[in-house]
Amino acid sequence: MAVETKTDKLMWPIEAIQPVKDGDTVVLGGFGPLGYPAQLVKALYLFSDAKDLHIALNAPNGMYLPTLDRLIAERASHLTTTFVRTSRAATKFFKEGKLTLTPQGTFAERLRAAGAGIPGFYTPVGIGTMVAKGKEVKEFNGRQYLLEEALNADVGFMQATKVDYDGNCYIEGAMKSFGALVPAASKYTVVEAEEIVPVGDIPSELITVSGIYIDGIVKVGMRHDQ
Amino acid sequence: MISRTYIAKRVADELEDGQIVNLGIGIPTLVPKFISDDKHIIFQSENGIINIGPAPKPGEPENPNIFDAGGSPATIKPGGQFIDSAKAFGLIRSGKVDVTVLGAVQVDAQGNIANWIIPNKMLVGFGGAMDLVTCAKEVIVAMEHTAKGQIKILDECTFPLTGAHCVSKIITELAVFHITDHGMVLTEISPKTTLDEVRAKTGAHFTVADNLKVSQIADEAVEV
Repeated sequence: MAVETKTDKLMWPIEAIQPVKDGDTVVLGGFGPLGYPAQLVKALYLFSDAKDLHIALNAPNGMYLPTLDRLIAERASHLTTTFVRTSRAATKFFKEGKLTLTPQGTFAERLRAAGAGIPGFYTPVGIGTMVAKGKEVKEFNGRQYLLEEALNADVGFMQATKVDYDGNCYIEGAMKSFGALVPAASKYTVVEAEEIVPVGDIPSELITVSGIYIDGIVKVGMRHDQ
Repeated sequence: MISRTYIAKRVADELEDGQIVNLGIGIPTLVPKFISDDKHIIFQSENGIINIGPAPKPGEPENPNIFDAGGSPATIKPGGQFIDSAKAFGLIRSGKVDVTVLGAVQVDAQGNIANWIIPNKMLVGFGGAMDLVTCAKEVIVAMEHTAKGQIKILDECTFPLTGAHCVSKIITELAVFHITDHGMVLTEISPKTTLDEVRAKTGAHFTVADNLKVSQIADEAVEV
């Protein structure tokens, strides 16, 4: 059966980063270097002037993702992340009070909540630690919970294993981690595809992210930051 | 290295058939190779794998999309499932994880744990540790008893906490402590140590269990 394909989502990284503007919240998929949209971040660093960005991702890594460290240092005004150890830029942001250090599950749920139209949620994680500072505490069934807010992004970049021309994504294995959460949490999402296939090629049961969340598709050029 | 494998072996003995277990990076990742064959344990990895398997053997194909929470190559067991991070932590937060085993920079007699920052020295971050220590049914700290002579087991942590009143057991190469409502109790020591050495290397008050055991694990027998 011939399937009419919409190809207007295919773009070059330099086109993909055009909508990014000053002050945007940019959320990135990836668990360390795996599933991380290296090419889009590189394009954002090299070809965009957008500044005062709020960058959010699970973990920056100065060793594997040096371009991201430069992007954070030079063009971001705030960072939200769960793990910092290997990022010099993130460590500096922490000292300057520009880092929202978030428990990993809370980070994931903040993205999920954004994609689910829920502005906030209560979690026990962080009670009794500095994460609780300044946050509303509420008791349910005798246990204390913190109010955490959804993380709504202006821009989302992530990676997928296979993407069809409509933007439907199949994300293999543990690469799903945060990449599967980014599209629904973002107003504008571009996916880096390892492979681009005709619509219908990915069985409906195996679509990890629907194309209705995807605005742009770029072909992966490199697996890691180089 | 011997003390690390000793600790892993001792932790393995602590885990029970049928449990769902999450392992932190470092010493805890050594635990699965010491689980006896009669125990069926499901290891969950917070980066989205239910029933994660060991690292691929040399020569076995590596799938770059299967890795553990430390970023090292891993495998998935038959019947295992890949899930996204929201589901992975939903599983943790809702109490499906029976035991989490992780290291600590400091741990204290009240069950507090600190492992995300060494003030003015090193900033690590939380990763999934804060979620795990808050929500797993049982939290086991598996670590070397001291860090280059620095006391790690204290009456009260001095570093910012990862979790409050959450640790139930501390397992080191010298001792096993249980944290109870009545304080910290020494339940076991390793064959190569003495009560005096344990006291000297522990910065917290503890009581000695009436039936204090000497571990039967001979660390010479433990191979990496």
